[in-house]
Amino acid sequence: MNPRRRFLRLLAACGLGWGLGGCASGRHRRGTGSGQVVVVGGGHGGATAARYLKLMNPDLTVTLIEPRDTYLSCPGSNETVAGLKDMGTLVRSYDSLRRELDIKKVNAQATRLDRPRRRVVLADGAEVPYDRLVLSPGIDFRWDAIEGYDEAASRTVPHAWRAGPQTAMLARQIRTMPDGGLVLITAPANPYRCPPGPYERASLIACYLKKYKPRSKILILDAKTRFSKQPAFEQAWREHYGDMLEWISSEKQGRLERVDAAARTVETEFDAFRADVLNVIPPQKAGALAEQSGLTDTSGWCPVDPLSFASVYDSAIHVIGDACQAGPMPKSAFSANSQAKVCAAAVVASLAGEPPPEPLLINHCYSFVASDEAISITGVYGYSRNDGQLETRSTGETPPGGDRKREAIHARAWQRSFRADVFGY
Amino acid sequence: MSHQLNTRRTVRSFARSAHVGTIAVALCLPARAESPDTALAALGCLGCHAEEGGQENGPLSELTSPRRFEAKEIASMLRDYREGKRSGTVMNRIAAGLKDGEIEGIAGFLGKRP
Ligand SMILES: Cc1cc2nc3c(=O)[nH]c(=O)nc-3n(C[C@H](O)[C@H](O)[C@H](O)COP(=O)(O)OP(=O)(O)OC[C@H]3O[C@@H](n4cnc5c(N)ncnc54)[C@H](O)[C@@H]3O)c2cc1C
Repeated sequence: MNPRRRFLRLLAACGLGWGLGGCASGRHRRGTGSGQVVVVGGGHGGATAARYLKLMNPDLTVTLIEPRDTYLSCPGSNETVAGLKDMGTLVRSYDSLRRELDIKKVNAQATRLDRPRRRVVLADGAEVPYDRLVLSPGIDFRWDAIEGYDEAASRTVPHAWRAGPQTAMLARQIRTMPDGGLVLITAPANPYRCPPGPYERASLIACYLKKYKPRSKILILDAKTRFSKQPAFEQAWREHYGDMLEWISSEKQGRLERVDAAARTVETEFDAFRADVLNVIPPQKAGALAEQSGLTDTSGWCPVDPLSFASVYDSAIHVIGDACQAGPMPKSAFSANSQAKVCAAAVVASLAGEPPPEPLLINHCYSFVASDEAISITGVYGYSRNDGQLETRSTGETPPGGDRKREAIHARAWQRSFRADVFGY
Repeated sequence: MSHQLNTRRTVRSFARSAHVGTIAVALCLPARAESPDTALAALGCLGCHAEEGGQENGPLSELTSPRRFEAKEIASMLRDYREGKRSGTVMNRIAAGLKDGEIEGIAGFLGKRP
């Protein structure tokens, strides 16, 4: 198709042509499809989706269902654990979405989906009808995966893999542990939320301990043999923390067999460890609502068509963010944000009776390795028509000798500009 | 009241950038049967180079607002990043994933408004 016509059609599909009038072309009109779009989950994926749906087509009725009044961001939460920031910096408000874009925020948990009748059922029994549903429920934990580590155990041995009281608990335990103590972090097998997250956390805890409790030690007990940004992390660790921080591959210790939360011990196939602060990051799966609604496969995550992020099981439901399987894309806030835009464009297009525009997605994720040094991983993902899946166009990590100080400045700037792109302020 | 204005400004800025994109794409893009949508791809860039407040009040953060540059300047920066003639922290790696026509389209969408 002629590129100009293709582009105009796309604009129409995306509803981006608002206000163009006749200046570009008399043929161009804004996408006319209106409808009720409901978004469940007001995290990075859901908030971005709600915001872009309205930006692309202001005629849509967009309802955001999320039980919490404000959101707490996981990006930045490892800095909180290490005492570099307070929890207040993680808070994100929905005010701008509500007031400036007229998105209806419903403070409730979605307990069930009535898929045949296209309704979301809330905790109080109320029903919210939808033409299209966008689900971004994030993760739930596999409480049956590690013997001894269930939800009750997490009340004293934090995972801190959702920002909130868990983050505060881990921060407190680090602050009050004795000098000379052991911090033990267990990292899960892939896939899981934020692949470099455990290593950023270990780095920042080391940064804190080096300053305040220099005789202490940190161990990462990994279910993997390799990890994200490994060369860049290991270089920074050698330079800053020496023997204080040690990573143990699953090749050395085998499976994590058992956790005793009361004793703060961990048993592997070959050894046992007793920690002063124990941080177990358990294996994960898609948020419970997705699983209960029959939108997950045997992997525990939601398979989707990457052109639209529509569930392969239900074309009226789109799943984005950590809960979906997006081929090579890691589970990150940036991925969730990028997917939300593709999903919003596809929803707007489908309500106007148009096919979805072809996506090109980005992931870009910083990790702090010290209070003023960061490294990053980046990926660009295109759509392959051969197999109908996303394919990696390019990836890259901070090289040895990269400018970590400059990346740290960018990483802090990113937290601010990302908030603007997701929450609109 | 000010919130209202803000919304309109945001939506309008999308519309205007779309306008720039239309021209850029019409002039620069070779006809290609299969390709990603460059306006949609450009929205991905806003994950770092956020739109809101980025123009009227100067760049939102140290991450330079692309809106300060002409589309053709952005396109040439992206090509230079891709070919290693310009060095940055992450932009070399991102530009490596972009093809020529895509760079023009994305730059057209992100660049300064007329
Ligand atoms: C320590 C840590 C550091 C991280 N750092 C980074 C980083 O630097 N960069 C990066 O890109 N990513 C980072 N991440 C990953 C990032 O936090 C997630 O990938 C991202 O939040 C995923 O977005 P989401 O929308 O899928 O889920 P979430 O952001 O978790 O949002 C899910 C929302 O859905 C709501 N919800 C769930 N079920 C229901 C229901 N039934 N009804 C109503 N609402 C519901 C929840 O309350 C929640 O608000 C980090 C993660 C961790 C743990």
